[in-house]
Amino acid sequence: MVPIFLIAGNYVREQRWVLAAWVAMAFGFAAILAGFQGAPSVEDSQLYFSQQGLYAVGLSVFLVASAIHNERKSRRILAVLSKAVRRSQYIAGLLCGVFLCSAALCLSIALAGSWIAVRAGLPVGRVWTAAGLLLAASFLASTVTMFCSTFSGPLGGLIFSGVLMGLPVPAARYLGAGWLQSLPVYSFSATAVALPTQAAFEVPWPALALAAVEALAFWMAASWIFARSDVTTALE
Amino acid sequence: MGAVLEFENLSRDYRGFFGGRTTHALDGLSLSVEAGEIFGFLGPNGAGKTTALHIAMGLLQPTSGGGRMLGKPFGDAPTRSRVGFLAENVALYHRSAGKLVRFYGALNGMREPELSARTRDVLETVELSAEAGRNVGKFSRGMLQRAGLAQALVNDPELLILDEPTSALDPLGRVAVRELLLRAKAQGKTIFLSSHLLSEVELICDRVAILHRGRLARLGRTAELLQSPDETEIAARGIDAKGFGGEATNGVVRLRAPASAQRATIERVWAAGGEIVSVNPARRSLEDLFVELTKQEGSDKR
Repeated sequence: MVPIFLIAGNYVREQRWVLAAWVAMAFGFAAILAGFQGAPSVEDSQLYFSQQGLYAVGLSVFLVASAIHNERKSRRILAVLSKAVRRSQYIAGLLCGVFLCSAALCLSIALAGSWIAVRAGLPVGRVWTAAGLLLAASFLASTVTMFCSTFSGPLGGLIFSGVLMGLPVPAARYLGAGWLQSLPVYSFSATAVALPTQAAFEVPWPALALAAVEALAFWMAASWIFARSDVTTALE
Repeated sequence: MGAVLEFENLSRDYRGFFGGRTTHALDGLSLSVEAGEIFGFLGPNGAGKTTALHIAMGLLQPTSGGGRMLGKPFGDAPTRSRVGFLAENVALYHRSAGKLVRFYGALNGMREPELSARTRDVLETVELSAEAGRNVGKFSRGMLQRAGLAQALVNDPELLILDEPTSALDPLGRVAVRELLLRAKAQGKTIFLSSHLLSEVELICDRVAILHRGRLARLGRTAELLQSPDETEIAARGIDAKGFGGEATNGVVRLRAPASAQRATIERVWAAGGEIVSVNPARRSLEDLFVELTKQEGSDKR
């Protein structure tokens, strides 16, 4: 486990300025909505959670899509993978690092969102549940994108993972609503962004359990492919 | 002593995109590096040296063949904790040299207090103690190379695999690395050294392999490879260098003669009133051998 935490910590350190910018954005928009004008309306709150929800999932996807590519391009991967680090540990380390970045952003969204919720008269507990769901969506999205980026470049990774994560939407439409939970990135994100302003809600435990199993499966598949990949050939 | 690093009929092709041209970077390479030796791995650019090193470290997959490192197949992660690797054009994370070396040591399974002690030691060895707190992003290329050496040495490896370790170093730095490698050898470590600096290799390597176009062109003990069995070097005094086609240094004329003409040449020296100082098998430099082999292989291909 130690190499995983070391790689994760190092990854967060490498991305600290990107993360700081996104966290500043979460608080900045909250300040604009709740600080510099009167009490925000429910619509304003809805806008904030939709926007930040998209950013939270987007951050994890964009970070993961280029993670391996950037390490290979900079050749820093050589010094890491020439140590006693398995490819599966390397992938887990990067995913763990992205998870920590997402967790920091979701925490910021929860804190800033609570401020908005208090000012708008919405239940604060819902904001924290929504942040938890966003974190789950981000983590699952990052494992899917990591899997896709092991056999393609950053752009390919984004496209393939976008298609994969978007598939449950048409599947739910044509095959039945239950399919929306088959790869619940969209489902969690949509629920999370609507949650703070919704009347009734129940935590989707079965979908969360499925997401955990799927994340594990995507990590294992990504590790299997990456263990058979070259890390020093040209990246063009 | 057993083999520490073995390449067994190793081949690696690089295929172009969309059915483009295939390059054979390695073509049936077989060689073995014995424990406790300094092994020089030479070849012109594009000969396949780095490809072979990267396959040994598990960074590249071979097209066919394989090998073993410290008794385990290439790519075995736990085995790498006993190996130190320095890649060509080293690239490291931008953090302080001390923290960086500790990071790589910890990745290799080292823990406190050994980790801190080794970090201090290797930074001192590569003469970076005074810069331990400085970010390597602000290092010169030579300093970066030394930081790279430190991360390769931090786990006190049994086998050191170094790809151009002195390429960015000044002459003093090169001497320091040479001494470091000789010290490591004295401690029983094995060193697999890829380098373009033939004079360095000639000075420290026990055995040398010359790779050309992915194939092993020559393998042997350095001293034996550099001997020219068909030529003799005769040192004489009291003769005219020009008349004998030799080179004069401090009054001693050095002549080269085919072994079959050795006796006749000595008699000519005596006849000219000269005095023989020494007669030895001729020795060529590694550079001569390298140029000769790569030219010969090139003409064979054509």
